[in-house]
Order: sequence, then structure tokens, then C-alpha cells
Amino acid sequence: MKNNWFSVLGYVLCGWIFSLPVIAAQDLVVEITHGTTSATAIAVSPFQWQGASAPTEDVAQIISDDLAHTAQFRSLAQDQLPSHPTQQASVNFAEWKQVAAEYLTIGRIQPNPQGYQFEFELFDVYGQHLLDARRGQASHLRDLAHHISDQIYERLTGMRGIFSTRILYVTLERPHPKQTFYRLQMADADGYRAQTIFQSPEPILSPSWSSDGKRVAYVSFHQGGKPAIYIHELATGQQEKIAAYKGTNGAPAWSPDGRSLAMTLSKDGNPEIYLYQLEDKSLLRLTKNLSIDTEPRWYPDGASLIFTSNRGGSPQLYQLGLADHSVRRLTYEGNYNARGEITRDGRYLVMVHREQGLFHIATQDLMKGHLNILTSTQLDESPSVAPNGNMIIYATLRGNEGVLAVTSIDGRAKFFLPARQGEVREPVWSPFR
Amino acid sequence: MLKIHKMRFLSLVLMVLLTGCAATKSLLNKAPAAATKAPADTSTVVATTPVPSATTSATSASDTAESATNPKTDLREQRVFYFDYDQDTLKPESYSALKAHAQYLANKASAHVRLEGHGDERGTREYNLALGERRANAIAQFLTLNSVTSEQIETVSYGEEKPVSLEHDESAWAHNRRVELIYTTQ
Repeated sequence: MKNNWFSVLGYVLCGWIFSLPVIAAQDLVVEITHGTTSATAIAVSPFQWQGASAPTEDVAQIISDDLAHTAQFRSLAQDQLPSHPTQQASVNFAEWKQVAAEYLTIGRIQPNPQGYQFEFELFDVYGQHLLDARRGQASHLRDLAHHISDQIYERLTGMRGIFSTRILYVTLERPHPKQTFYRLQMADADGYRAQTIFQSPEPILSPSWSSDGKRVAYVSFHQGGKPAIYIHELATGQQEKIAAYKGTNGAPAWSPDGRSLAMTLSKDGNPEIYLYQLEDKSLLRLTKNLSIDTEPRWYPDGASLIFTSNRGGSPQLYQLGLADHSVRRLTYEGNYNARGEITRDGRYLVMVHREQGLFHIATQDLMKGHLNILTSTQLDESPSVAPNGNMIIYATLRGNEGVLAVTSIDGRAKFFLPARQGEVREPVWSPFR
Repeated sequence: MLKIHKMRFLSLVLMVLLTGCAATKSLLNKAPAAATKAPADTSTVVATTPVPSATTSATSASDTAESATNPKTDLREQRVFYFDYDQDTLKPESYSALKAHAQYLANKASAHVRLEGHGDERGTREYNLALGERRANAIAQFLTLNSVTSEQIETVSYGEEKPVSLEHDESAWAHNRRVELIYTTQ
């Protein structure tokens, strides 16, 4: 790696503000099940705190955890650190080499009326030089930590970090066999700071983010016990019903340009894919078939949809061109391939795939065609790809409980995000903010 | 497309005709043993919807006595109808009870039913929502072909969201793949 002092020393100012109402909700707890030994070793020294009262969050620990979750990194435990430097002058590269740290981050935080001002430096231990140095302002310590994780990740991998993104998911609590509480929740990508967006005693499913991350669409049965599609404005909490036809109203999927939603409606007698335009509220029917057509998702270019259909006798994934409504089958391996999603780079199809009676998350390389089964648990469902295309969040069963799990797109790293109480399902990863 | 429509209709008509014909029943009964067993042991799982099976002959003395006095009422006690995995076709053992419901509804225009379709937890939620709807529709079609008006029938699918058994095994799945017939007005 080349030393590039001049570009590095241009300090970058970054600031951002949260305006979301915080409603008490349960956080998810991260448990890493397996990582990889080939991961890059990084040390994050505890940040210097320049405030009067003690900090409410351990920023260095949050950064260490963020990076370790990707499995591309292995973070040194705090008790493995040979020293706790907070200034460049006190960094002794030899002692970091001794603990086999390839990279080291140090930093300082100062509370101010707007929140927190921070500075951090990233060092290449073996090259013995400064790689990056930045400062910024954040309103919350967890935002600050995730932002620094994003900066480090991008500097070292060349890929955008997803640590400042969020996830939506549905929790279910069953205090009594006949009593259910469904909650649509939003949390940071690491499962912390969960907030309830909407709750109901009736089922909630299929949340979908708008492309700007400001609105979500979902299916809820709260009105008369029947499914309807709603749009929810996150900043205001305003809920708008957009589809409540006879039969099923399901599987809303926001288009990349944010102007329309693909959805499944059975108002004409059979589950078919429709396109709903937000501006004029018009509906266009896209499929006409006596089989089940559902789970539309958009190709990244917005010119096609991918959807599940059993028109060939078993559920398989198909591509639907929006210009001419042409349909092309995409999956042939196995007799159950559903809920497909195309990664942003267009390279992989991510789906639920059945193998020997068990349901797993799998990818199909759209260039080479081969199928890669990523998970070894059963009843895995609802995969959603992170906006950088590198991680997939999905729902699975552990013991008797529905939990969320994350896998890297190559299947090498995995961790669980179980809820503290109840079940959690239907995760969807937000776009970048 | 039209052809498929016609075939589907014909197969339904055939199904309806066959319900009155006990001799051909065994030929149609292709349901696997595991699945057909499901209704038999529901009493422990489904506390609120006991399922006296319409196809297996009544076993207890009181049942026999009741069915002797009013066989149609007895058949109508079956309110839950089970389906095979990833299937929305009616099982032959559902026919006689459904026929009794149809007869009751056809004779009483003020009576209404809600058909709630369900699936087991395997597979994706939205696909199961669609499957549950197709199951409810299959029963709705059977009823309308037996002279029930569509105004008397309401359908809703809950997909895999409302299981009666919370276990994760074949027996639980067999119980959860169902349509519940509920009289909203008797």
C-alpha cells in the first residue's frame, strides 16, 4: 500500500442528524457463530474522551464489532491491546506488529452542544504509516461509531460500508396461545436502537423500503382482519392505505426510482403482479396466468421485475420485462426457488431454495449460472441483500424460535440477531442514507 | 389459456359429481397416508375446532346415534379441511362434508360463511399467502358449483401467519395446511 500523505491529510467534515421519534422497543443481540481465519486483523484503541461526564457508549467496541461482523476483519479484543494510544505521536508500530495487528485506529471525541465532535486516524502497522485521518460531527455516539466503521471499511476494502444503514423486521410476541402482538420495527444494522414503527394484534408482513429510505410499505391485517398494503412515512408516522382490494393485497416492492410499487393482488380472481403508480394511483396488471404469481422485486435498473410463479408446476423464479411484459424463467435447479432478489451489481440472484426438504438461502451466479447454498440451518427465509451487496440478512429458526441471521454473500461468515423476547422475522436491509 | 380454464372447470364438475358416488372414491383417494391421518388426531392440537372426520365412520356410540337421526348436521360439524403440501386441490375425504355445507347454504340464502385459507410454515410467506387463498377459493368453487351463491361466501387467506400448531414437524404442518369454514350467519 502506498503512502499518500497529501490526500490523506485533507480532513473531511461529515455531519448528519437524526429526526426519528424513538419509541421504546427491544434491541436485537448479536451472536457470532463463525468467522474466517483469513480475515484482516485490526485494532481499535479506546477513544480519548474529552468530556466531563463518562461516555454512554464504548465507541471503540462498536467499531470493533461492526468490522468483525463482516468477517473480512478480525478485531483484536480490548485485553489484547498492548497500549491505548490516542495521539499519533504515541503510536509505537513495533508493539502492534507484535500482536499481529495489520491496522490500527485511534481517535478522540469531544462533546459539544450539537452532539459530539470526533477525530480519528487509521494506520497501516506493517507499512508504519498513516492511511487516513478524518474529523466530523455527529449527534449520537452510535452514529459516530458506525460512521467511522464505514470510513475504515471503505478505505481498506474499496467498498462502501453498511454500518450506518438500518434494518426493518417484524417481531411477534405470543403472551398466550390466542394472543399475538406484531410489531414492525426498525433498528441499526447491528440490531441496536430498535424502534416500533407500527404494531397490531393482527399479522404484519413484507416490509419494503422506499429507495430514499424515508418511507416503508408493508402488508397489515389490522383493518377487519383482511390484508391491505400501507405506506408509512417514517418521519411523521403517517400511514396511508394504498391497496385493499378483494382477496390478497401483498408483496409490495418499491421501484428504484421511488415512483411506483410492484405488488401482488388477487382482485381479479388469482394472485397476479401489478404495478401501482404513486403519482396518479393507477394500476397496471403485468401477469395473466392461472398459477400463483407473487413476490415481485425490482432489477436494479428498474426495467424488469423478478417474481415467483408456480406456472411450471413448482415455485420458480422468473424475470418479467416491463417494456414488453415478456417472461423468462431464471431458476431450474431444485423444485422450490422463491422470493428472489437481484444484487445491486446485477451479478447474483439471491433466493430461498429447497434442498432435500430443507429451506436455505442460496445465490445463483447470473453470469456463470451456478448455485451456491449459503446456509445450513432449515426453514431459512426472507433474504434481503445489504446495499453494498456483501451481506444478506434472513430469517431462520433456532430451537423453536424465529431469529434473524446475517451471512456474507459467499456464505463464509454468519451471525445471529435474536430478539430478546419473542420471534423476529421478515428482515429488510435499508438503502444507503 | 381458455383451454386450461375449461379443464379446471371440468375437473371441478367431475369432483362434485363424484362426491355422490362412493364406489369411485377409492380410485380418487390419492392422498398420502401421513396427510390423511392429520384430521384424526387434531383434538389435542386444535382445541377450538374439533374435527370429527366425515370420511372415517363414526366410532363412538353417541356419534352413531346422532348421525342416524340427522346425518347432514353431523357432516356439517366438519369445519376444517386439510390440504397436501403445496397443493390447493380438495381431498376426496372433504367432499361429503362440503356437500352437506353446500346443501345447507343453498337452502338458506340468509346463511353466510367465511373461508379462511392457511398454509404451513415452510416456504416463503407471500407464496403461502397466495396458496392459502387458492385453497379457500377451491372450497368456494366447490360450494358455488353446488348451488351456493357467491354472495354467501367470503374468503380470506392468512398464509402461514395463523398456525393452529406451533410445532415444526410433519404433523404440525399437516394440521396447519387447512381451510376453516366459519358461519358468519347460521
